[in-house]
Amino acid sequence: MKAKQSEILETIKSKNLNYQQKHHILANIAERIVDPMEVLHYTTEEMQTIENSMICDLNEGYGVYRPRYIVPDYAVFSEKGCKYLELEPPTDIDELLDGLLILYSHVPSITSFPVFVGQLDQLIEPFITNEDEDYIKIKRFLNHIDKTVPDSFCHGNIGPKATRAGALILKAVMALKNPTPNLTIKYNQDITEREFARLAVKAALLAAKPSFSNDLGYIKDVGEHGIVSCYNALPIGGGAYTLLRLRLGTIAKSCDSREGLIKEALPYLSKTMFSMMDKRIQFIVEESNFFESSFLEKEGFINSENFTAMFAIVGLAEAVNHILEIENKDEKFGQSDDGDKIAHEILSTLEQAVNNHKAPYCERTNNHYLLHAQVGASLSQADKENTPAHRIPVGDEPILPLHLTQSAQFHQYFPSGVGDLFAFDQTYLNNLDAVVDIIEGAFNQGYRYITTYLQDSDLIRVTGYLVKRSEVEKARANEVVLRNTAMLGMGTDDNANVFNRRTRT
Amino acid sequence: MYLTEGQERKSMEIQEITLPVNEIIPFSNVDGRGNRTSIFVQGCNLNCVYCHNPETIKLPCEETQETNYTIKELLSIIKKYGPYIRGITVSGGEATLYSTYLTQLFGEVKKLGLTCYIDTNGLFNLEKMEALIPITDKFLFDIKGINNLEKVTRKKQVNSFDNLEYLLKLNKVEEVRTVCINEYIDLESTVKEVSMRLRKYDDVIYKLIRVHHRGLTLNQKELVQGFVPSTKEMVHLENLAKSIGVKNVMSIF
Repeated sequence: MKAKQSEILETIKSKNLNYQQKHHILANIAERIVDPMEVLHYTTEEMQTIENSMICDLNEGYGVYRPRYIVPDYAVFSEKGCKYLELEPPTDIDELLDGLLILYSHVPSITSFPVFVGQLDQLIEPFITNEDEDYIKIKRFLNHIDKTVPDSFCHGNIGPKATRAGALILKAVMALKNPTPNLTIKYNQDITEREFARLAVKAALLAAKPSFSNDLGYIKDVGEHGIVSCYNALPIGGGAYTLLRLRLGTIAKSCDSREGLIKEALPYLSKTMFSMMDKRIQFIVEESNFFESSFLEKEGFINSENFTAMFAIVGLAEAVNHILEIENKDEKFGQSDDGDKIAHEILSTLEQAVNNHKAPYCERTNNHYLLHAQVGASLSQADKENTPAHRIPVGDEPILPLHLTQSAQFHQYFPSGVGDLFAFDQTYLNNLDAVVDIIEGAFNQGYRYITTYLQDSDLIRVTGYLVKRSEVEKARANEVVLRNTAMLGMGTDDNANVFNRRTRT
Repeated sequence: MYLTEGQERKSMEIQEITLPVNEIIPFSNVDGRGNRTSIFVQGCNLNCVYCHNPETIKLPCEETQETNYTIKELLSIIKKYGPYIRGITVSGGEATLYSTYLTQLFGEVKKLGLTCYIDTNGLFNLEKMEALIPITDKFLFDIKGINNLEKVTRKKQVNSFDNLEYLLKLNKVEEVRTVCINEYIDLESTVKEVSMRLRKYDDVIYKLIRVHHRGLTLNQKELVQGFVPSTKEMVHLENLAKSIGVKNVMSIF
């Protein structure tokens, strides 16, 4: 959305933002104050889809000067060090962790913080010499990230193989209970050892991380990838230029028939969104000089050929519910076979559109954008009417097995990321295998990504990222808080009541 | 091939027999290892003072509220949960009252690649279980106590240690449980007696469950109140079992 000049002074005078947050917001306003029609050559029709909230650009701005998500291959550092930062290749765990922390402060993204901090266990494992001492170092390293990257879209990966480093990371995560970095275990039931899976489940219940990603499924669709930000699967050594999203709920409400939505609205809005994405990418690649000026590109941490972009949706539930209502069916998405059929019709229409569009500078993903189930944002009134991604609204959730089966059928559509989350009760701590069974069952049913946490813990999952309930309460009371995501968490909870997901007992 | 009249009747009976079910819990994490679907049958041969599911005690009659499932019906429900569970556990009530049905059901459930557990109070006639035991993967086995059992179970009976011993030797026991209630039974002797038998079996879990009155009927609460062991007493019992050599002891409060 275009910025107004008044936002500048409002931000400067704010009582509940810290210096760094004001700085980032001011930079974002600058990006949004340049005229998209002039800079990106957006058309009047395109502008209109943003103004009527059908397409959301997530405040990415119009003077785009870096890709939205960057997924550096940090193994390059272990091997070659970094010339630009005058760092030699690390020779011990101290040099490795210190070097990584330095690197992180030079990895940009849409949030200005790194959204990917690497395949941590693989990076650290070769440097483990003394598990007791290394544990303390790893714990300090993770805590350092939490305090200097105060934004839980920052994401690390472990797995699929069990390693000493992986186990130490999980141990530290349980001890720290920090929101950042977010963490995912790439899971493969044939490779990931049971004992390691149980440990990961224990950490997930006690510290709301790691989440579990279906490694085989993502390798098939994206190749070598990192799980970054909320739960996005993107090529390693690359990333995503941009992410725009269709608010399906808002779009459907402008239609008075199923046919109107499928045959007219969706094709028109897809086309509009493709055009906007194309223009953004062309600007980044051809005009912003990002790749020419970045040491990440020069030294091989990233390669512009590994970038793609994400064509995202939110509000599938509301779109389906609107059509059910038009068709006089007294049912709701999540508990309706007809609803599921409508959802497939919507998503396969979009899938086809995405496959028919030739995307510029996206060779890595066969010149196509990747469909994405986007979750978190509370940017406008319209977000209240658009449940995250493909998810079932809080309050309409069926019992767990039926919920899993319902949602599993939609994971196939979203190669760059999709995920469901479930709040469990304390009793699962006594039977970690039960959670492993649920996760493996979900993967066998087509799941790509699943998150669990304990309903009553301070640290909880909002939509893909973590917040502390206590910090959100501070934000509600207008206090200055450390993490940007606490404010987003507050907005998302207000919109979608996500702190009160059905507890699975 | 033609069936004899007797065989034909028997095969029809098998298709038509039903199981009186009080409740099905799709996902349970307390009825054996992993995630399981728990099926609670209606009807029990005991009437324990602290029974947690007293509504399942009465045998099916006009007053009880159960649903009768044919094997086919029950299977279609299990299949729905199948992808996410490791198996089923039949509990109750007393599952072993329905051994003919369960033998048939388990045969079908096994074809789905799932395991079959029985949660039992241990009071069953071994001869009637001849077909069911081999097809059951594991038993969760209650030991009520070694003496004064009539006081706890309010039924005349013989003790179940022989059945436990038999199943232990077959490696069919996953856990043994004793609900700890003071004065009704000699807790210390009970724990000793069970522990002596379990110490040879490293994998078997011994759960010591402190009796509690959450969820009990008013009448039951009166019977139980005042006999709840203290935390100290529970810790003592746990240590006793460990000192005898039981590897997996868990106190549940």
